[in-house]
Amino acid sequence: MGNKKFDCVVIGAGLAGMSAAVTVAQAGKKVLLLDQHNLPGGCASSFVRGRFEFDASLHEFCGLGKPGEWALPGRIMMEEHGLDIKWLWIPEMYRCIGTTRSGKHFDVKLPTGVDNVIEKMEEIVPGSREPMKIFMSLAKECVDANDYFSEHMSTVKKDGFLKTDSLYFMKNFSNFLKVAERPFNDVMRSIGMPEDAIDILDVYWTYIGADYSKMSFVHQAWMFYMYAKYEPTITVDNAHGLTMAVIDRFRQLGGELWLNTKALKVCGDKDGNVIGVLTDVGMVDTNYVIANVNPEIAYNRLLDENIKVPQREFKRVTAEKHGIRFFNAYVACNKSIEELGIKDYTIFMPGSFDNAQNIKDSKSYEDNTHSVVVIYNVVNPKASPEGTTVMTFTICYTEDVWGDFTQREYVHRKEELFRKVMDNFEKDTGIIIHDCIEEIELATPWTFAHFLNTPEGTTYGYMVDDWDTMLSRLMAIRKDQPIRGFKTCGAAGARGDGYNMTYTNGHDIAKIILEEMEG
Amino acid sequence: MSKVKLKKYGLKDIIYFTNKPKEREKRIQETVPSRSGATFKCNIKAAQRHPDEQVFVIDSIKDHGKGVKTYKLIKKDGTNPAFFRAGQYVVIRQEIEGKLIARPVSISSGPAETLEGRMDVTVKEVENGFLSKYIIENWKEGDEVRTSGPQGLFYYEGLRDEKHVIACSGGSGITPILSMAKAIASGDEDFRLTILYGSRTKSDILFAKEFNEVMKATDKVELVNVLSNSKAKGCEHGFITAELIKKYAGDDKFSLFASGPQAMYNFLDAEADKLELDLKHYRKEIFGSIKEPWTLPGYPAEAKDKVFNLKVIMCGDEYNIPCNANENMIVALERAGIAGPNRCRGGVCGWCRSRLISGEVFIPELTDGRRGADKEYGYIHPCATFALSDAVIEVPNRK
Repeated sequence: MGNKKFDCVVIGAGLAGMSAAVTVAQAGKKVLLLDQHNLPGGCASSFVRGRFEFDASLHEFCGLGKPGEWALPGRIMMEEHGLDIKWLWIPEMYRCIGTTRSGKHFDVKLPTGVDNVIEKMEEIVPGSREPMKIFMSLAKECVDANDYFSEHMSTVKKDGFLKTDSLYFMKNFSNFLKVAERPFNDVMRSIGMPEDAIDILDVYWTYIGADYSKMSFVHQAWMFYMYAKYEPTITVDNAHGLTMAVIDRFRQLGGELWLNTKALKVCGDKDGNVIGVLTDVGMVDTNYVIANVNPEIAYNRLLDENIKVPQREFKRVTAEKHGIRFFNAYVACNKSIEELGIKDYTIFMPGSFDNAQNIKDSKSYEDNTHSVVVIYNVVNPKASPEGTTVMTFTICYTEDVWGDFTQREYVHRKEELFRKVMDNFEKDTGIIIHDCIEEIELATPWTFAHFLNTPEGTTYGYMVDDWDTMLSRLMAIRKDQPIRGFKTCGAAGARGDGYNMTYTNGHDIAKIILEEMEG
Repeated sequence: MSKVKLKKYGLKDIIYFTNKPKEREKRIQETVPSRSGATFKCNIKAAQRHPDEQVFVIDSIKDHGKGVKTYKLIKKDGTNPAFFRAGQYVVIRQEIEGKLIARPVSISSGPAETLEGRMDVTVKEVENGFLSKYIIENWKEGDEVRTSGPQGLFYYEGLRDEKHVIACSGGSGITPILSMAKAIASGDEDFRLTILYGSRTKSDILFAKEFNEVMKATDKVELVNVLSNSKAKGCEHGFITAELIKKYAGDDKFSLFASGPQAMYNFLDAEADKLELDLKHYRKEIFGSIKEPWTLPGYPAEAKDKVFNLKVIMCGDEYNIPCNANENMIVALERAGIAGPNRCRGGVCGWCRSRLISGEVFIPELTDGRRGADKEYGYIHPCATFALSDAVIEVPNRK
């Protein structure tokens, strides 16, 4: 019996891999999607404990848009791919509790709606209204520029970078060109944003270790505007339901999904052309492979010696810094949100709003108790059985803080950390949960390393750094994928982390491989 | 919103923007490539804790009589077995007549023993128990044994459980409780454990010596033997009732842990109701598949004893195999020698998750641990699913 043949093999059924698989299959190609686990989805998954089902990762999908006005990721998922997903829109940005650098204590809740946010900020920090208007205007321009850019990514210059229509940008997006890559906090100060307001705006990404004195304006601006304008979203059936919808569509398009199947090698012929994928069920013939795999792991372990990786790629993956990794506490209480007195979906509890201090703390175990909690039932009454509540607490790390713990102390470290997080939560909010926990699961970077096989258990690919920004990565999206017939996609790719970004990245990469297929 | 005029930003910022990708490229070109697929600390720790497979050699065997044996296992490559939570199990993977059979088996040693390079499993020969019979009759010193990493959720969780645990245990269900007692003695767990251990007669009691050793080392563990068929000094007589639990619990809050056969749970569920225990305070170890599904409500009697055709799709290949309605679908796959991943055998862990393409099936509610979307999209856990007609399923690769 001969090898099975496919037009394209996608290795890894994470969000980017699934998106790439659907995109290629929709172009009429015969696609095989492989995953080493018995369950597709990667991070977009769920797990069952007792009578509860926990969403593994979807807190808030950013920038989906709404029916009739889908934003970029929404357009791809809902219009182009035609997915059947039951979305829920979250009518709030976030509540945050903590002390700003000026020593003032804030406990504020930001609503959605661009005008609502502006007015709320003025109410919290007088003098914010005018700078907030400017911020929102600049943010809108960033969104429009990004959309335009994303739709014009196919022309490449001789040096490998994307060719952009500079005149068009100058005419329509001149402010974008001026501020997009400048540090967020610098831009905020230049438009006269009060310092307390800057602290409150910075909370969104402080918890993921982003340094606002360095991080490009466009990142925060895009996200903030998208949340304000379109509201964050989750799904009725949690992340696993989202995954099932994508897989269902993939199958309708004739795609094959092999689970519990590991890709051992991507094989090349003597001339370095991709000729197949060796899996643990044997060889599969194909000339095109998309790997939803960290490029560092792909280059070092996945490609056989016939496929030459340019030295520049080894330099790139060395230069790029491993991103964020998480501690997650999945908690189910045997009381309803009404009984517990919960009204908010997302609560950031940074303790201090001092971004610089929080970045330092994200490199240590002891000092890092800057957490965010998401309480699903506030938005999704079906998130857990009647009379109960499910919530997820998250802490992020920017270094391999958990790598030094011994096997024996590991469990105690997890419990000790969650007790601190829970104490802070109870003190900050007055909501008491410690006596009504029915199920609890604590996941650490070890857990993510086990399930995702990513370097150091990172979930967010490479750090979006001041030199390694999303825009400069996007400009180099083709340069960073120099091997003919082999591409990588995912959180370590051009658009960085997040459901929206990885799904869009899978689509980007699929379009590139389709171009190569067409010759 | 009208276009904003930015005073502080101008042409130099546009140039900065334009140069950003080139600056990135420069940084890349100046980097000395140092990573060569390095393995990271965190990933090594994760792999030690959650190994796909552990290969052991049987170091010694202790025969407890009455078809119960404890096997002391050491890793073939000399490394330590994976550290575990006391109460967890491993899945034994044993090839019998060319077919890979998998069954969960309790760990009876404590987690601290893994640091000394060993792990014990205790096996009880059960009636019609295919693998347990094989193990008791065949395993000998020096044999190689393959298991999964530690699995299961039946362990003490300090963030959920009360400081006092009353463990109700029957028969060989005592093994995870023994492991917990050992973990308390070694300092790996910290809670008060009162064990109500039900046996028929005094001679059915397992691990008396081991428990005595634990109780010498710690005063946090107390063992109470409860004999149903005889009376003996120092033992309670009868069944494990709400009254008896109350007697040992006193006025303090407690969590009830149960580990034993289905019949014990049926009895204990009613007693737990009398004690008004909520789910938070009542934890049951439940592994092993449902037997005799036709005794359950909703089962269509006409399916019993029938043999259906099960078409199995695996990685693009098709197999047609017989599927006995009286046994769960994983058994059919095992009999055909094509069983894929499976662990808990009780519908809970989801490792055998498969897609039901067509056919009627019976899924007992008691062991239906599927995700919500899986129910909607037609996925099943074959270890907790019984065929009611010919069926087509797509299963994960068996490796």
